Amino acid sequence: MTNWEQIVKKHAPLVWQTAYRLLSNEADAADCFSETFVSALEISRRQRVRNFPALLARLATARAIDQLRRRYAKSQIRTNTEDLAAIPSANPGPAQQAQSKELQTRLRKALTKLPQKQAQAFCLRYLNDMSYVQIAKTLDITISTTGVLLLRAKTKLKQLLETAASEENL
Amino acid sequence: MKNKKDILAEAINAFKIDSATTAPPQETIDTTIEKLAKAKDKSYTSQQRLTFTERIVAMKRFSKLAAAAVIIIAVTVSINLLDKSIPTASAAQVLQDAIDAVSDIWSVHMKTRMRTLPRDNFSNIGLSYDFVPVEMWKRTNETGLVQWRVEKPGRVLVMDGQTTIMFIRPNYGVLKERPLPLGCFDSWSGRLLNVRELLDNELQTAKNNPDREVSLWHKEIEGQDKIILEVEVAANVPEGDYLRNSFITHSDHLKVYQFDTETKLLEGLQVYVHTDDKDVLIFEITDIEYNTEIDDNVFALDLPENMNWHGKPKKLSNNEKYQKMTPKEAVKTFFQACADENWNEALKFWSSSQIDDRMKKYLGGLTIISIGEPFQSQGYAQNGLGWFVPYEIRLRPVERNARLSNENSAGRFVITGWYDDKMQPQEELKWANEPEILADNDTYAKMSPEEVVNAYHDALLRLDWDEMRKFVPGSDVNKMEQGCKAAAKHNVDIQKNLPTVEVMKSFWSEEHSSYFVTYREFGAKKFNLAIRKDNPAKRFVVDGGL
Repeated sequence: MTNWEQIVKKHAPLVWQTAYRLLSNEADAADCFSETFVSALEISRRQRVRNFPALLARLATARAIDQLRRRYAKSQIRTNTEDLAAIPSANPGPAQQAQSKELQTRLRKALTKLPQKQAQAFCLRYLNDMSYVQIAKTLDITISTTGVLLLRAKTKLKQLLETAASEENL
Repeated sequence: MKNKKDILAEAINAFKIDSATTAPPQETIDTTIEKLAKAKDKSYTSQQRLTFTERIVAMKRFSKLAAAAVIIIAVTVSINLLDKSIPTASAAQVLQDAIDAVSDIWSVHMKTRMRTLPRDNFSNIGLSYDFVPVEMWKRTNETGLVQWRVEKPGRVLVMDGQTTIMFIRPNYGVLKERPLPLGCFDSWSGRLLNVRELLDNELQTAKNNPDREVSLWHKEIEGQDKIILEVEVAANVPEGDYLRNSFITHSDHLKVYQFDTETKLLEGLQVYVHTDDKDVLIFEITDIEYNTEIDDNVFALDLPENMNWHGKPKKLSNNEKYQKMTPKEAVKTFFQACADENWNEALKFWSSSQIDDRMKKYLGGLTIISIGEPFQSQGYAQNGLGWFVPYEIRLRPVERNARLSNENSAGRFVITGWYDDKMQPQEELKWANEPEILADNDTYAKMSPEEVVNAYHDALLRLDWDEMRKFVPGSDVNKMEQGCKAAAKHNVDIQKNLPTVEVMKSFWSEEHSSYFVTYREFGAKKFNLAIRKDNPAKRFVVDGGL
């Protein structure tokens, strides 16, 4: 019988970091955190879970991206409040901090425009530092598909970030 | 504006730096444990929020139609969430709109480019080939007569409403005395001229294959809004199949359609083949014109007088002898006939009325080294009537000439052109930059023209690309290197296909104001011969691989 309390305590940092990095907001991250573990429970009912960290990373990423999509679909620019309501950054200087926040917001928005699997692969790689092999196992795809997803995600994200930057004269 | 490479890396760094909290608040952990305790007592309900992807995965028992409906709804919802300025759309709707938009077109003119060979099969692709232009026209006149033309530099297909001709330059042709549909003779690209059918097939496939990955998004191009539809297609042959990635349908690929948002018309299509480390653009429509006048001459062909027409092998008086041959026996008999220059015998394995002089010169007097065990590909010839037979032959020696010059700042001889035995130019080698002054330049500067030609061919046999660059332009070496890599992926033993050379003499040509080296080339070939017996005579004929 799975001890879920133990699983939560053991994997809390991983899930929290994944959620918080994407959502940059404690309330949203907390929702995502809970939903991730509840979904993991439901999945464990249907099949044996061999790798909890991989499953939790995948679920947390997917949920966080879904939440980002809902956030931006409400067509309110939240950069002034939610995205900046954060723990102080390690960057020196307020100007650089603001720039960093701006980039984060743009990247979050851009992620919502990617197909789900591309967004997931990107987050697992660049936010969770997973290897291609780990991502392939987590998403149940081949290593070559992982490479393809990442390549396309990066291309699209660069395009979106540049467009956003040129529109706002960054 | 930040440069392309920096902005994404900076954004990723910004994410990573700003995550100083590594653990959730205790309250969050406690709430979660409570929720889990409650959830453990409940069975799965539809209130549990899964991502769209997980819903589809979970619904394995649902019918395909139901799953397809979910996909379409999922795409619809995600489109709405992404941009409220566009009306509700779906991949199916975009395709249907595009089908409606082309319902009254009577002519199409497409300019495309494809990574293929100018004279080869229309559908054959190569990931390392250069792009070749493929231009296509289709017209339906007032009486409903359909005519079309598909053309690339070395091969043309024309259907004038009554007959269909495939013309392979300079003088080979296949004639069918009836109008064949687009897509005949493997013209994958030709099928694109049936725009309505192309889109309708895509629509039906989307409905019947819910597992197929589709994405839909908007893009602004030169101030105009476009709809981009991306469709993933799996290869129809397994990994490791001999013909994998040799044809678009035999590769895992991505189709990227572009539609104009206002007119709904199809404006572009790109096809990318997936490989282990990257996507390769293999085909692209660069221009489409609808309903423009097309000159009648487009659907006529100017053929040379010495046409060599393809014919289906006829039944021979001793046909049974050839019918009974195994693939290996047929190939051995064919090559032996070439070795003996017994062209009547060789013709029994040939799919046209004659073997032209160019082929006779190439194959005549060959020596058979070995014939291997035949194998088949799922992507070649139906009903098991096609085979690939490995072979290794040595071709009759051919005399050639290399043109050299030492008029460069390095003061050493380099190769500037290739000529045949009659001193007719075969290829100019363009040195974009002066030959490099090498670290050990003196050694190379002292080499005679004969020594240079020998050294170049020795390096070629070793596939020593760096050494080769000392004697021929780097761009030529790069092309060869890419070609060798591509061939290696098809299990072609490159080194077995490279010629050995015997240098004979060097001389100064007043006419060309250049040095020349005459050498004899002993060509070798180790490849797979394609043969098939799906013909009325039911005997094997050569279909490719020479």
